[in-house]
Amino acid sequence: MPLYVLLLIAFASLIASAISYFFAKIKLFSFALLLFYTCNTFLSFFLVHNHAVFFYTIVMFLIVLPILCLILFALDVHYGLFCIDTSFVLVIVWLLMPVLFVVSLVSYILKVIHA
Amino acid sequence: MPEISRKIFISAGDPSGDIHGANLMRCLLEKDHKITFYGLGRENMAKAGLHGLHDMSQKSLMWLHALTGLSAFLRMKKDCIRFLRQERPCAVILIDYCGFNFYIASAAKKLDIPVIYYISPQLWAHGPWRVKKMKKLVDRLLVVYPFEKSFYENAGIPVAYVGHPLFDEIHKEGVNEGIVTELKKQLGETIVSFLPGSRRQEIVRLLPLFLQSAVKIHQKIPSAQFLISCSNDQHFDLISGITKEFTVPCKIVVGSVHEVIKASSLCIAGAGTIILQIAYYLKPMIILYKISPFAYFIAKPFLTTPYIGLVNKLADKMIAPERLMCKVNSAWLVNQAIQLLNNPQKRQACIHELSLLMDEIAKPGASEHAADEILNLLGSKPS
Repeated sequence: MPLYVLLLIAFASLIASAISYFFAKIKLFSFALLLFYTCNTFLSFFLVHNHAVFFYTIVMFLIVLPILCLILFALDVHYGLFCIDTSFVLVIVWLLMPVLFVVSLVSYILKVIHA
Repeated sequence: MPEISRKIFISAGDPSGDIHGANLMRCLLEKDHKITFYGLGRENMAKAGLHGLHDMSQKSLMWLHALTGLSAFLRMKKDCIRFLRQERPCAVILIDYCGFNFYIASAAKKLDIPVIYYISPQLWAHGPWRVKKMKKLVDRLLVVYPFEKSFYENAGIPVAYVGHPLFDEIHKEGVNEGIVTELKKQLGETIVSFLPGSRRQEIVRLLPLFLQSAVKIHQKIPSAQFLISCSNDQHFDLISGITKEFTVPCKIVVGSVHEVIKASSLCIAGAGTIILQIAYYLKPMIILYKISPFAYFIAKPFLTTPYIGLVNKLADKMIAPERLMCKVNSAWLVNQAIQLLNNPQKRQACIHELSLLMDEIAKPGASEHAADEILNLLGSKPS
């Protein structure tokens, strides 16, 4: 699959996840989120796999961290685990998602320019 | 035989919690003088007899303040838990302030000390899933709004509606009619008052919008005069600085909130407990809440109530115009204000609905009822 298709799917899923989140459509939001992070993981791998430090930094901070935050939040909503109000993790997630997309986009543009 | 003292741990963080906590302590002591109070509070609770583990006067546990004061927060938590472990009080009473009080509740539950939560955080308005934490942590919940009872009962939490302690305070304090008369004499009969709230962020967010609207209201109704309620001296310079940017003359009144409300023809306020004070004096009002578009986006899926104003939520219908704003919309505010000032039918309808609501809820005795509930609970558990 060409990389620009992955980039388009990532963009579409980012928009879809924002809309579904805003209107509290949880299933659609989960699906869009899964699509977004899958696309971006592949994009990061194909675009920066030869820069191991850069690749793992992206994976740890922009993919694993927000997913972990969302899992903890979901567990807290279901089981009331923590004393703290965990809704602040959504701020982290919604700040990091556009950052991840921009990183993928910039990496793609740089790859196209250098090709 | 010497009388055995009963130790109760009580925790309140913010200034309103301190006032309500002090009233509750006095009521409990009237009914059982053997009680000794330990815990966290401010000057009012200290005056009522609290043996404070920490003074909460300069502490804030909201948002960034919580991060900057993290070490103080951890020290406070550690001291409270040590106290609970060593002294084993017969009950823990928590007043609002769930950011910190949930930790105390968790520690008390582990030690099998009964936890009573007085004035629940507004979980019904945002983050209703937190009710599961509440259920795990609390033995008895004393709520201040009638609709909260069914909300918590449905979640399986033992709950009692005791009334709002704010009405105890209003009845106790009363109104200085001299100040009301003086304000009316100085400003005339058409007074519009702005009550932006007691927090700095609220003032910065709301006051420019209020004043922008005041300029337009003054153009359409030249007899209208404007009052700004400043809850304490700390914010006077801030408010005064903001008013200088606008051409409309405004009088800033520090304190005397009841008098400001009573002298007004219309109150424009931020969403908060102040709404109940305005409703108590049956004054037509407009309720505003302003947040950033990003904060609105984050919070939107969790907003479970269609109303932001307490009076509308309590009445379950729109009796006072309200709006949650992401961007400044002074045209809407001006339009509503002019209607409420110039249209006698709309004014009267608002006053009528407020009076029906106040007949139902504005009764003093909340602290007394809460004290009875607490003593009932303690009676069943020997200290």
